[in-house]
Amino acid sequence: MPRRKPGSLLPLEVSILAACRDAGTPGIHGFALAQGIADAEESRRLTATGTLYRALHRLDDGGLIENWWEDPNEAAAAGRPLRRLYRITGAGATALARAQSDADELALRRIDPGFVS
Amino acid sequence: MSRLPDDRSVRLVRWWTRRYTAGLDQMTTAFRSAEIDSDLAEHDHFRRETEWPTSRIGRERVRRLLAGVPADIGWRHDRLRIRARPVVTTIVLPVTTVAQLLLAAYYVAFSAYLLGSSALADQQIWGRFPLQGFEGYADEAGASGVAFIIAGLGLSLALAAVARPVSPVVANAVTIPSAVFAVMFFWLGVWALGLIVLTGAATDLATRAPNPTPP
Repeated sequence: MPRRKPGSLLPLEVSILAACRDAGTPGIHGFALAQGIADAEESRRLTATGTLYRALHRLDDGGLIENWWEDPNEAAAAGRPLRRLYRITGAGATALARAQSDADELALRRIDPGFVS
Repeated sequence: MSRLPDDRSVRLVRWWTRRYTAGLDQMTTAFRSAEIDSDLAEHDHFRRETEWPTSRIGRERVRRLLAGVPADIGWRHDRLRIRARPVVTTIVLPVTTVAQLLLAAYYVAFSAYLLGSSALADQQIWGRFPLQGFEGYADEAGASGVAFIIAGLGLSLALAAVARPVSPVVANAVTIPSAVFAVMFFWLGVWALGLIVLTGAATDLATRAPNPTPP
């Protein structure tokens, strides 16, 4: 498999960053991200668990998102396991904007091969 | 929201999580397990709200598990690599590189000496030029050859002692050629074997160089 270009994002990573950005809450947990991605892609299928969390950890290692555990009292009060929450960082927002801009440019090139940015 | 359902598919997911986190540090394992438990609970809650039957939720759970197995294995590989990287890049590589370079320099010097003293003992160099009156030097060459072996052993073992606390594997790579030094003086085949072992150790070090991780 060819190595991907440093700094480039996989489609799933772009979807995760976009879902984090659009969440509108201080932090969003993994399953809510899977839901958000499925909704955005109008898909009934949820992202595979391993695929989702590996991508999240990769983005976290790259500094594009940050994570923390919610208050245990809150989880206990709600009667559910503790949630790990994620939030997009400044670097993540920049990388997402660049990826989306590249995707837009690629789409324009497909429509008009003579397009110059 | 309810806690984790007691279901075969949930047990399967948790069993698999224990498998691919086995041997990782406790915090990584605990965090991953907690994250997966949270996902299972959220998933169950979400699907029950949409009135999915238990069997269908279970099937979707297993599908998400199976589709993610390659990524789980990749995640484990990532964690192992990240855990190993700081030690290799900040401590092991400089120490072991210096050790290997010193050892290799010694090995080359000793090999040159071995060939030279052998030629002196035969009173010929490359079998072409007779060297009259050099018999005494051949004896001296034999005595200093033993000194060379002892010095080489001392150097190798000292370097191995330095490398061992940081990386036992590299220490072994240093120790094996040092053991070879003692016998190679008497057997050329072992000398060739020593070269192969040194090359292997150098290759091992080269493959330990850190890989850049995207993004």
